[in-house]
Amino acid sequence: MAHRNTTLTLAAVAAAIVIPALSGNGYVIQVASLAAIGAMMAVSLGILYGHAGQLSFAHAAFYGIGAYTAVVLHTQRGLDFFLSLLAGAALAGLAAFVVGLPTLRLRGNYLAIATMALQLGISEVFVNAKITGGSVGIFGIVRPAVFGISLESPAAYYVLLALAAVLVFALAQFIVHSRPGRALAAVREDETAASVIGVDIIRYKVSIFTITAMIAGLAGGLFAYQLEYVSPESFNLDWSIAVLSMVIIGGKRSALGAVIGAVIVTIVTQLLFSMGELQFLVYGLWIILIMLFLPDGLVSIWRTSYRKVREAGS
Amino acid sequence: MVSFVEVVITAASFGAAFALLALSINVIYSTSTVLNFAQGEFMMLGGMLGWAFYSALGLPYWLAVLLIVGCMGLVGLLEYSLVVRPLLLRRAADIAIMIATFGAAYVIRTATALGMGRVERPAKPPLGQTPVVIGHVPILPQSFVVIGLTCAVLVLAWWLYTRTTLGLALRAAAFDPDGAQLVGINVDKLNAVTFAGGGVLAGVAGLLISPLSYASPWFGITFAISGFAAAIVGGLGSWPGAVAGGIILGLANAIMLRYVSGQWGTFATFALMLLVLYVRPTGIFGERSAARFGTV
Repeated sequence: MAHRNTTLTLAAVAAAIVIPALSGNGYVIQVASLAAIGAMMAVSLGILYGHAGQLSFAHAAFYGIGAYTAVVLHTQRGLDFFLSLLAGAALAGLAAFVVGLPTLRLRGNYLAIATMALQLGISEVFVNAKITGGSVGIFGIVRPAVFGISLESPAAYYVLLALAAVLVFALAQFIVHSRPGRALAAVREDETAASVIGVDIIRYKVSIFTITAMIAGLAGGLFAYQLEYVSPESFNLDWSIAVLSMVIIGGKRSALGAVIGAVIVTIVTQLLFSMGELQFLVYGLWIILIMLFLPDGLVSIWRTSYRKVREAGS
Repeated sequence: MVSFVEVVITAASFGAAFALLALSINVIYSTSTVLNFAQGEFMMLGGMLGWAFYSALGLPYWLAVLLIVGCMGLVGLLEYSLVVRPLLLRRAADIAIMIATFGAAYVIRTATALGMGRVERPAKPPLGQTPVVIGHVPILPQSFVVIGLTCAVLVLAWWLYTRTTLGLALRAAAFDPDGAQLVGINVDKLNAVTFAGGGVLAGVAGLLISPLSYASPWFGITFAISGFAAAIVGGLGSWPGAVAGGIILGLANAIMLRYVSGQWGTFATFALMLLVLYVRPTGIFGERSAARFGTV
């Protein structure tokens, strides 16, 4: 049974990578690329919110830091592509560390407020700073060649994005099932109890916040080369909220749910794009409705019916 | 010297409005521990309604104020009963409630933009635009309106909290919600009252501040950050803290505007908030035990 599941999963992943890449349809490749980036973001925020019970409104800020850093280092200064991506991730992680250190010592939801302020503050920096190209942004970004393979075509670059998403997904599974991951789950359920049994709560919380911000920074760097230009509106609060809605739609406790949420939100965003401001009314309403009526996301429907079938069978 | 006095007056005007907003955040937070992210949108809506009733429809100012008090109380009550109450009854996590209030903020902002137009509106100040010159310093009459009305509201709120049965019940519920419930206080009803009150306080703050800048459907989120920053700087849940935090935030804003640039205001607010969280996480007036983690 488990064996068949593994084969099925591998087949599904391979299909998700190969079919859009070979479709030859530019629009399909673009949407699939954005979904892969969204999946990385949602899996990252999912660990932080669903698993560790902390909330960040600044994931778009970390994503932006990663994007600008990669572009400034690789496109403008000629540093190696992967090194530039890693530098972006590191800088995003540093920002998270600085914000997380004081706020995660406190009871209550200081992190949420502080990250909201960070998000709006960083957006202001992106718009006003010289190095980011101000409100215009930076144009003329050319997709690199890695290991002698050109990623110039959107299809080739999509394969890189999909592989990165798979890597992030695997990393998330590893973190969740590791010893620190189980400690974080204990912190989420009851901080006091966790501290009594010897979990160094603050260290674990700051670490996971930093790691998830680094993943967001990496996704941002990859995004910059997907879009081929960076400008502040790609990194504002609305994107943080879009990622949050991916997590809660799919199911906050499940990395698979985060991926499903990413695909749904990416497609819906494409469909609603022409609606202008009205799309934010849709976002607001669906956030409220999910929190009220489906707090564990779409995967909880599947799980509930699965359990019912099993109970009926036994 | 003249410019310094101007900065102080600006700081006091904005500080007064931020103090009201921080107070509205604290009123709700004390009883239910809900951090209501729609609070900034309440302030924005207060400004927009003020523009609609007073500047556009030309109603008398006192009537506009009364209408705004009524409308904003209703909006706060609606948010509570439709969004927050079901989650509180289910004992949902604080973060889940916070996300839902954020959804409510999106709905309020977009509905306002679609219903009342997405442009910035110049709100008419009730005492006119002609500056009053005191010494050599020209002062906008609206500054007196903001500071005076804020003081009046603060005194009224203080009287309500310390001198009435309702205030006693609110303080009891803030101190120990379960205990208050046990001695026969209806905490659910009190929460509804705090959301209505929070809506009114934030709405009045918006009404007062809009003639000094603009009324715009997009200002809510910036207001929210300023309000939360003021509440944290002063100490989350503390009433004197809300006033002190509001004034400090107003001062920081005025200094940034006058001496640096208007472009970095939010980043400065963020930096100030973070600095306070590093140096004194409980804020100026916050209780140590309330915020500090790991005191077991």
